[in-house]
Amino acid sequence: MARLLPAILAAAFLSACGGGLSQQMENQKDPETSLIVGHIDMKDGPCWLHWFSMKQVMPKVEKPYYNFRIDEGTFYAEYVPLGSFQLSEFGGDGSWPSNTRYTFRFPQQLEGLRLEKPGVYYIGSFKMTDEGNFFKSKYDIELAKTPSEREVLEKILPHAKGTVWEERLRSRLEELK
Amino acid sequence: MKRALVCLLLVSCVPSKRREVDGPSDLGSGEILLVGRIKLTPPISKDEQRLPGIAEDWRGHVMVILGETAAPLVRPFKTSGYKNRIEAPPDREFSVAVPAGSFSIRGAVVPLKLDEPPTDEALLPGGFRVEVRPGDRAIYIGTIHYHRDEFWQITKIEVEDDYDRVRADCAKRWGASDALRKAVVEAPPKKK
Repeated sequence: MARLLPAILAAAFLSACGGGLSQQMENQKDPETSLIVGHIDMKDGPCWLHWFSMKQVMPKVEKPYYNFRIDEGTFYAEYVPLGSFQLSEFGGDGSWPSNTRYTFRFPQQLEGLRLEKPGVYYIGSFKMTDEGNFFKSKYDIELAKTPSEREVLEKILPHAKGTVWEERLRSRLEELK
Repeated sequence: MKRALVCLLLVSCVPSKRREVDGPSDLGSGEILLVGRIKLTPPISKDEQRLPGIAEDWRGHVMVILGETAAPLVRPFKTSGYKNRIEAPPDREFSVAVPAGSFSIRGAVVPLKLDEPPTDEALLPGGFRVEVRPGDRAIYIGTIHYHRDEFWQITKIEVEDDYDRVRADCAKRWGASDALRKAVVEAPPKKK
């Protein structure tokens, strides 16, 4: 048991970091990049949020997928270039001892995100719902009023410490006051 | 292996399509020939579709869904919804046999992801009424031209009339005895 514990903790740590992505943001390497942030409340889902990704559809690039950093339902990525993006998929691993991996995909025919100038963009808060029954779950997500943009930005502020994003987040938070 | 089996099951459950025919001489009794075209701007690019090898011949095609009424297509789009579809090729007119009676084009479907469940597709709006007259053998409904953005949102629908070109092409193939009647559909009014 004593030997097992570190392994379980490591797994938990990895999944809490969005499949290996650290929660700490990096300094901007390209001035044309944006910070995209949002939140999914998965209390009614089969798992917690462990990953979230977006796909670049314009301009076409060789590696179009962007994985996000995760902090308890909040997803964020500070390295997104200008272009058009579709929400791609999100999901998580079921709680121990389950080894089920849950992946939820967004349809491709869905309004996306057009980034025409760099900045901080909050894409909204969502809530996962289960409209199924005892025998079969039927998951969906809907827009949620909480957490607010302010609460989401405050949550990721500590992860921007020491980077250009810290000042930009503070200035956006001032606007939201 | 499991994924391949699921793909095989998924695609093998797809119901049959409208029979493609070259000319009125290939029609059965109670059938007419329907000629038209579906155009997409921008066209479907290769990286937008994830199709298993078994469905590779669907690549670039738009599936036109007909019905007695113009009931719009809805999500989730079931495999059974493909029943009696027209597989419209990207670069030319389709030419298929349909029952001799008026009908509606409910919409069209672009399969985007069939390689593993759940499937994903883009649904294109319809609402076109096709009036068939007694004595019709072959009708031309025009080119339904969908304009879309990078998120598969339809920004404009136009119906283009290429009747002269298509009639000349058909006359060459069929001979003068069979006439292609012009029955170009009207674009449905834009939703406010």
